[in-house]
Amino acid sequence: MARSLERIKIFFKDLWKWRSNCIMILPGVIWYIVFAYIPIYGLTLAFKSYRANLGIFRSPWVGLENYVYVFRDPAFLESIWRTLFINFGRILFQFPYPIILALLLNELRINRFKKAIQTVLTFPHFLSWVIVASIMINVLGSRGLVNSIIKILGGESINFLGSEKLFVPLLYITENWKSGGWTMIIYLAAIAGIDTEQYESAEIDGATRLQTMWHITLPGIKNTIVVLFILAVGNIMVQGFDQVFNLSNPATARVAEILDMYIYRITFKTAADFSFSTAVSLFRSVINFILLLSADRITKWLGSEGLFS
Amino acid sequence: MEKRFDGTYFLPRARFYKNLINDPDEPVPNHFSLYMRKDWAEAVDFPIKSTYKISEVIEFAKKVKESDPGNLGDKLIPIAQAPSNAVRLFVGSNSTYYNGFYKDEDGTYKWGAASEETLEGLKMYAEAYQSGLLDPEFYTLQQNDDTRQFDTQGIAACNFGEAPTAALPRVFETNFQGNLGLDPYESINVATVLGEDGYYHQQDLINYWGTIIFSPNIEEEKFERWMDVLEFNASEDGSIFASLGLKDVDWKYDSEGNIVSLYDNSQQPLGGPDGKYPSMGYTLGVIILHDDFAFDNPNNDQRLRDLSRQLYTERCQICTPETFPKVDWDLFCFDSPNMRKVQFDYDTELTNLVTMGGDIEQNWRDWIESKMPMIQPVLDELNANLN
Amino acid sequence: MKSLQVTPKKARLRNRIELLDIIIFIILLAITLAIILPFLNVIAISFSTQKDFMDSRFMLVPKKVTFANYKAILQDGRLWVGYRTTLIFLLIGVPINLFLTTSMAYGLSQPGFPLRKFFVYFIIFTMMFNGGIIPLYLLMKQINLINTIWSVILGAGINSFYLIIMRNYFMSLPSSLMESARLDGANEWQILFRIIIPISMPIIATITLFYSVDRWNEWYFAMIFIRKNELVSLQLALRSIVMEGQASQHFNYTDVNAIEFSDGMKMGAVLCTMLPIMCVFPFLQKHFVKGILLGAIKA
Repeated sequence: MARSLERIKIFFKDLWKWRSNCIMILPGVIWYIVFAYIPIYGLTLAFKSYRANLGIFRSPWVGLENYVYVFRDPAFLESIWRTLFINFGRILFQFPYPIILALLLNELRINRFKKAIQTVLTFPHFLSWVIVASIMINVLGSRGLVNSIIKILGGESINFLGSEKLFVPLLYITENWKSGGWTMIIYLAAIAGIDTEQYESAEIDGATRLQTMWHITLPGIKNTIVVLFILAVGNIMVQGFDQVFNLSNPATARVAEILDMYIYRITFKTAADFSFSTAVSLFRSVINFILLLSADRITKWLGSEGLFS
Repeated sequence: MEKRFDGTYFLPRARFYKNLINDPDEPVPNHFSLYMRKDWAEAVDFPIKSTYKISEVIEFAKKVKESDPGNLGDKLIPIAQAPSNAVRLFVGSNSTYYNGFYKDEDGTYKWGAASEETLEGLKMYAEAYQSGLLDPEFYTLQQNDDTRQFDTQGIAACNFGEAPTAALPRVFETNFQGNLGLDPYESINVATVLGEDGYYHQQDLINYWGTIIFSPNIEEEKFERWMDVLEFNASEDGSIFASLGLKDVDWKYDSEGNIVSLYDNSQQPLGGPDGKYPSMGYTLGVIILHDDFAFDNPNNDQRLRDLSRQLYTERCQICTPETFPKVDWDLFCFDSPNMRKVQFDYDTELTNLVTMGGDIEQNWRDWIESKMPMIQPVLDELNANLN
Repeated sequence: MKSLQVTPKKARLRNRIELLDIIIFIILLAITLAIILPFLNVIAISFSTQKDFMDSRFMLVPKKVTFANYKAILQDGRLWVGYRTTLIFLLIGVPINLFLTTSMAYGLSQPGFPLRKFFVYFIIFTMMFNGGIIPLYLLMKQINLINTIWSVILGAGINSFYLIIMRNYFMSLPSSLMESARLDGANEWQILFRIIIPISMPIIATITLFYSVDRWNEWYFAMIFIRKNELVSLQLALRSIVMEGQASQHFNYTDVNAIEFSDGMKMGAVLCTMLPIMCVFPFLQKHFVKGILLGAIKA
C-alpha cells in the first residue's frame, strides 16, 4: 500500500516536472477526445434506437434489434464479402506494382529521363478522385481515347465503364495509375538507403543486374514492404470508398457495393436510420481491427518488426 | 385523411387552380413527356400522335436506327435516356406502383416491384438496351445529359423527360432552335407514354416540396396572419405575386391587361436561396402550382401552352382509377422501423438488372427473392394494421 | 532528390547501355505516356467546341481553339465559390492541423515524459477503431457546427498517421540538443519553436504539403457536414459540374436560366481545379521526397 502510494507520488512528481509537455499535448488530446473518442462512444447507437430529440446519450437501448435488420438484408453480407474480395485482390494485384516500378526506375540508367518520369508518375496522386474519375470516364468511354486507339489497331471497342467483369480490375488499374508512382517514391527512398558496399561486392562477384536486384535491392527494402503490407491489410475494410463512389454507375452498382458504399446508401440515399447505419459501421470496425491485429502478428511471427513495436 | 389525423391539419397537395384540369379531389397529372423528332418520324413514315405505348416508342426508335434520317451514323442515339428517366419511361409508364407498395383488388397489400407489369416494363427496358436503342453508355449519363442529347446536340430521336409548361420554351426555342437552327414546332412532337394496356400510369402527385408546420402553442394572431397569407396565395392575385413578385416593381399589366415581366432574371433569379426573394417558391408558393400560372404566362408561346394543356388533360382521360389512382393516405402515412428499411434506390437497382446481362426475368426473380426477407415483414405489418 | 539519383556504383563502372536498359526505358515510357495522354486529351477537349468533340473524342490538340468553355465556367460562378471555400479550409485549416500535430508530436517524443506510452496507444487505437461518419455527424450537429467551415476544419484536425511520422522524426533528433537547452533555462515551447522546428523543416514541409493536399481535395466531410450553396468546397463544385451536369432550379420553372455544361466545359472545370496543384507540384516535389527519406518509414 505504502509502496504504491510512493509510486503514485513519483508519477505525479514526474508529471509536474513535465508539466509544459502536458500543456503541449493538451490541445491534441482534447481534439482526440472530442472528435475521435466521443464518436467512438457514439457507436453505442448500434444498440440503441436513435431519436433525434433525445440525442445519442438518451436514446433508448434496444439490444441487438438493429442487427436483426442488418442480417435480414442479403446485400449486407454480400457487401462484406465483396469488400474482402476486392481489397484482398488489391494486395495481390495492386500492391506489387509500385515495387516493380521502383525497381525498374532504379535500374534505369538514362538519367536524363529519370527525374522527368518520376515527376510524371507521382503527380496524379495529388488529384482527388473526383478529378481522376472524370478523366477516366472520358478516356475509357466507348468513344474515348483508349477505345479509339483499340479501334485504330483494328480491335473491337471494349465496354470498360459498364462491365461488371471489368470493374474490379479497373479499380486496381486506376488506383495504380493514380497512386502507384507515389508509393514508388517510398520504395525508392528505401532503395537509396541500401548500403552501396553490398552492390560493390556483388559487382566483384560478377553478379548480373537481375541477380543484384533479386538478392540485394529486394531484401534491402523488405522492411518497407512489410510496413506498407500491414497498412494495406489494415485498410481492407475501409479502403476505396472515394474511388468506388466516383467510378461506379448504375450498371456496375451491384459489383461496386463494398461495405462503405452500402453504409453510404442506407444512410444517405434511402430513409436515414442512424442506428441501423451505425450498427453496420461498428461491424466494419471490428472486422478491420481483427484483420490489422492478425497482420501485425503474422509479420512478427515471420520474423519482421511489426508496425506497433 | 381527416379520419387519420382527427381533422384537416395540413394541405399537402399543390393544385392546378385557375386552369383546372380535373376535379379538385382527382389526382394531379405529372409533366413527364416524350419528346420526339417529328421530322424524323415523318421521314421514316411513323404516325405522329399525342400518345404512344412503350412498345410503339421502341418501334419508332428501331425505325430511326435502321434508316438514320438525320445522317448521324454511329453518333445517333435512338432513345436518349439517363437511368432514372429510363426507368420512368419503360417501367413507370407500364407499372403504376413499380417503386412502392399498393393495395391490390383483393384487398391485400402488395409490393409493386414484384408485379407482372413491372416485369413487362423491365423486359421492354432490356429489349431497348440490348438492341442498341439506348446510348451504349447511358448509365454514365447524369440528370440532364439525356435531354441535352435531344435538344442541344440533336443526336437523339426521342427523349422522355421533364416537360412542365414553363420549361417547354427553353427546350423548344433556347436549346433546340438556338443550337440546331431548326424550326422546333415543325421538328418536335411531345407526347404522353401509355402502358401496354393502353392506359396512362401514374401515382397521384403529392407535390409538396416543403410543409408549413405550426406549433400547437402558436399565438392566435400569428396563426390568423399565416392563414391570411395562405389564403391570399390561393387567390389569383396571390398566385401571380408568388410567381412574379411585386406588381409594378417586378411586373405590370400592359394596356390590354396582359402581364409583362419587368424583372431581368438573367442576373439573379427571382426566388430560391440565391434569389431576390429567398422565401419565394418555398414558403409562399406551395398552394397553387406554378405550372398553373405557366398556362397564362404571356412570355410562353401560345402553341406551347395549348400543347401542354392538351397533354395534361388527356392524361386524366386515358386512365382508370387503378392506373392513375388517388393517394392511399393510410399507406402514405404508415411508418415503422421495417418500413424505413425498404426504401430502395429503384432507378439504380432496376437499371442494374437490365445491364447485368443474362435473362431479365431471371435477374428480376433473383432480385425480388433477395429483397423479400425485408419486404415480407412490411407486407405483414401493412396487412395486419391497415386491414 | 539527389540521394535518389545515386545509381548503384557498378553502373558507373559499366556505363554501357544494354538491351535491358532499352526494355526498361520502353516500359517506363509506356507507363508515363499512359499518364500524360489522358491529360493532353482533357486539355484538348477543354479548348474544343462541342461539335468537334462529338466528331472525335480522340484528340490531343484541339482542332480549333475556343475559350468559350472557360468563359462559361467563370460565368457559372460555382468554381469561384469552391475556390473561396477551399482557400478558407487551407488558410485556417492547415495552420490548425500543424499546430495540433506538431505540439502533440513533440510532447510525445520526449523519452522522459511519463504518459508518453499511454497517449501513443491512445492515438493508435483511433487509427484502428473509429466511430464512423454518423456519430461524428451527430456530434457536429449537437455542437452546432453543421453548415459552418469549422465542421470540416475541426473534423479533420489531426491525421494520426502524420502525427506518428512527425513524432518518429522528432525522436530521431539527438536528445543532447534539448537537454542542453533545458539546462540553459529554456522552456519546452521555446525549445520547440527555437530549436526543434528550425532543424525539422523538411518533415514540417512534408506534413504541410500532405495536409494542404488533403484540404485541397476535401469533399467527403464537406459533402456531409455542409449543405449550403455558398460554402461548397472546390471538389464538390467540380463534382456538381462534372457529375450532375447542372443543378436544376427545382421550385420555379419560370426562372430556369441554368447553364448546361457541355463536355468541353466539364473538362475545363477539371483543369481549373487541377491547375494550382500542377503549378506548385514540381517545386514541392523535392521536399516531400526528402521528408519521406527522413521520417516516414523506419527501415
